[in-house]
Amino acid sequence: MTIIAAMTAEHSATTPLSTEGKRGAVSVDAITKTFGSVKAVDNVSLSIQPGEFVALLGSSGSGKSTLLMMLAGFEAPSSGDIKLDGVRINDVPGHRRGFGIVFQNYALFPQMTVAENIAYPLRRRGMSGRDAEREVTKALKLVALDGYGARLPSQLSGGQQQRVALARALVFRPPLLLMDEPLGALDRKLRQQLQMEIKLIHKEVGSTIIFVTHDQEEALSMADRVAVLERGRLQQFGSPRDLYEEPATAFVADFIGEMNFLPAVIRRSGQNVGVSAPDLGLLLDLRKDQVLSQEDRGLLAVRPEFIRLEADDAATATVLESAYTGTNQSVLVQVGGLRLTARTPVHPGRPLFQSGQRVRVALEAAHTRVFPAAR
Amino acid sequence: MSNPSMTISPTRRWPIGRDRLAPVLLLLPIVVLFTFGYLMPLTQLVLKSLQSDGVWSLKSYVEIASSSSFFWIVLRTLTLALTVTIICLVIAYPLAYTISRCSRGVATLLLFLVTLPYLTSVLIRTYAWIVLLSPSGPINRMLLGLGIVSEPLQMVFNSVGVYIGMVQVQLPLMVFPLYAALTRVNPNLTKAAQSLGSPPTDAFLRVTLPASMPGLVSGCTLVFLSCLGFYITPELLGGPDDYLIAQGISLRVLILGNFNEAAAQSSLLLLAVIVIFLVFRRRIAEELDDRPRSDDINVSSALAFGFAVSRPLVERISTLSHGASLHLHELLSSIRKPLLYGCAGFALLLLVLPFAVVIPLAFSDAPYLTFPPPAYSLRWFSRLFNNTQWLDALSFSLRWAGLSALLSVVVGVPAAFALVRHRFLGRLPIYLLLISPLIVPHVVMAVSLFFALAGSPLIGSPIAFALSYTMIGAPYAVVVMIAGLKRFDRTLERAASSLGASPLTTLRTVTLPLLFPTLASAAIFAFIVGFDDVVFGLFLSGPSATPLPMRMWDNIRLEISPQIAVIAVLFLAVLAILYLLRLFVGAAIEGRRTQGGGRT
Repeated sequence: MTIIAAMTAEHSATTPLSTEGKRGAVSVDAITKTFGSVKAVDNVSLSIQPGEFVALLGSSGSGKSTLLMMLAGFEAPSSGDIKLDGVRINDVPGHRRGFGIVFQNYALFPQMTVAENIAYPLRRRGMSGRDAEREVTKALKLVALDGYGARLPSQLSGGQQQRVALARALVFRPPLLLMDEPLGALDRKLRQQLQMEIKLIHKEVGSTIIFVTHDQEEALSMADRVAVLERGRLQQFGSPRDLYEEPATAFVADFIGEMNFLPAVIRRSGQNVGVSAPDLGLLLDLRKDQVLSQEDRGLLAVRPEFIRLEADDAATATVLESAYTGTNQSVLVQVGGLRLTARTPVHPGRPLFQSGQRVRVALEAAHTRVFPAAR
Repeated sequence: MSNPSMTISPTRRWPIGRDRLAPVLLLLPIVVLFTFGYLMPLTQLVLKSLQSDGVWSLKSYVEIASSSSFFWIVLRTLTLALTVTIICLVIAYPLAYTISRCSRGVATLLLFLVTLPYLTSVLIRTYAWIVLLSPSGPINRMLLGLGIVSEPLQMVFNSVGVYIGMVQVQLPLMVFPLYAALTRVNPNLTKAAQSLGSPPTDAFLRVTLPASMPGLVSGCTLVFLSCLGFYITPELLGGPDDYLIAQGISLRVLILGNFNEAAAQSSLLLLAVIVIFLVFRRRIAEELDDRPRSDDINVSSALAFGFAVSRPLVERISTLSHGASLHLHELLSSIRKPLLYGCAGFALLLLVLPFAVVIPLAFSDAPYLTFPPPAYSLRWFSRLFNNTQWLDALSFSLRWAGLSALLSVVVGVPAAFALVRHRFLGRLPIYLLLISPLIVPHVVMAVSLFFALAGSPLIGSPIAFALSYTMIGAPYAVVVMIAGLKRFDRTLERAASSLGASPLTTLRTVTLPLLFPTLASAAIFAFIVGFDDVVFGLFLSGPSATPLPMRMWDNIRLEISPQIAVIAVLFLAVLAILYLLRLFVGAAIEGRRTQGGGRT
């Protein structure tokens, strides 16, 4: 009950819909959820700061939605704890947690008007009449839907319904806002527009936001930090830049952005590690922290932009296909039994790579990583 | 409680048994009702059949086993059930297939034409067939006029009448499951098969027909079971010499007073029905869960119809005679559409024909039954409204069928919630128990109640009617509600919960308002089932308790006048109003919902 009490007390907050002070620290401690013999979420721990914008990123079946539903209180963890501001909330049922949730298909009540939908959480907290009306108006304004209060959800477009869902989830100033693929049903252009708006609203209200998505671009462009999940396990939790530049596992390296993997042989001596890629006939000198494989074999990972191509008729690599994208040219190269994708900047006046052309392949050693071979 | 954080945790932990307790509480009313009104009487019935003069004995069974007339009755009943099932399948399949391929609007209309007879009293439909098939009826007149026959065919009060009437009565039961299965078949599958070189008829045999097997099995089971214990139509349309088993039972109870033999025959009928019901319990259980159909179920259903054996054979033969079969298929393809629509049209005609007779007949000016009426007037309407016997019966039926509809919803809806939303021990057996009155012959249920209440003042009292109407109405409420709950988007409830609504508030503000059309359907079904009942009336009527169908029954048997047609027209009018109302409310909410979620 203390949560609701705190919520109602907060209606006196001054700034529109902003949460006061430093509430909304979420910690997930070694949480596991099993359905029968399947571990949907496997020993995941996350520590989220108040006001942080976090994305849970993974493909379907990665456990991201299950994790979100456990945070929301609709699934009970099999083991592990969920804490809000240091208080264990495992046993608090969903309707007492006081978190805002935006559902995948919005879940607007079809028989209620937009205003009734938004007033719903206020009425549950004993607020009605003028006060509720004022809050609803404020919330509609926040999502740029002033004057839409009397409409039914079915009379709104998908994007508008999405905004109503957002307003409804924010109107009671939750310390934590959970969003389950909220933009999945929208077309690309609308999605990008709403991504920006959600970021702005986040700045304005200051709630902690946890956002589930399978779209890596969306996760990277919106979140302060991204948790990558695969088959129930947390692969990496870090800033978008960390994920892209310093992927912790081969899965993350492959999942985020484009990545080439080459079989590599590792020779350790002192501070530096020698890695050879037999297919390319290259020997690279890498820092210790770049080599994540403990074995003497591994997978050398390199992004397309760090592969250098040079026209050389005597070379063994051949250009198979290429795509011109304005500033860059993507080039698919066959080297022995391997196919690599390179992305090279296009210089005005210089010729593009052509199919069948012979090229020499080089890697920027500083931007490569070596992962364990067994993925 | 050893965890220190519990002390500052905002709520207490839920009592451990809460999740287990909820379904028990939800199911308690209906289970208590079914135990006293259904299970115990049936058990007593079986026990009675095993007794003679107060001691345990198999005398009754020995007697019926040694009676050759009982053997013929059983054979006649099985032949009828099997033949009617096959005829219904042959007639219903083209209709169901056509409806499943129609545009939405047309499909809704056609389904309405199938539903209308289904909801209309069996008495009314049987009455219409008596008129249609009589020697001076419209069918005989047409045949005579066309010169096909030289003298009227005797089609009523013999087995011909029974077969025709039974097929018409059972047809909707076959169409519904077939239609449901066929709509689930992705039409692109047959297109894909055709694009890969199968002519349309071949694609149908290889893709659509196998995919519709679940519906085919459900439909055949339903029709067969329903035929086994059917009473009204055979009794009214049949002749005196071709009794079926349900008639035999009621004859023994009501006229001969041979209770032990009646109990034995009822027990045998019950046993047969339960065995068939249990054989198909997995298919029936699928209605509850809608799991992706697993292979073994498909195999078992296919085996039941010999398909698993014959399909490889078909495959082999069609490979051998590839060229010839292609020609055959091409030939079939060209006449496929006219054939299909012809069959579908015939099925529809059969379904609506009774209404074509009953409606004009209600406005007949003739003092006796004759069709077509020589002149039209409202004389039969005014006669009805001036006859207190009819009006008393009508108000009796309205009152007690109405009460039992309410009761059915009150006990049935919580049960549906428990069955759909909880997983608990005994869930499937309880589900099967609750829907079993849909399949157990009403004659058996009524006889068991008659025995159980014998000697008590409840016989001939309205309470007995309310109880038995609830027993046959509640299963409909359960089934309709289960379907509604399965369609219900539970995310809306989670949304309400996340916004701070307790489970009860969620139920009040979100779930029930959105399920209102389903609740209304459940109540309407339960009402109609009770309002239509004849069989319970036969056993439970008394001077102070005569429902409308009993008056109609007596009228059809004793004088057969256009009076029944008037009641039919009034009934249809009420039904039409209810249906339109339901359609309107449903469309309003459905419209909101599809538009609401339509952009996903």
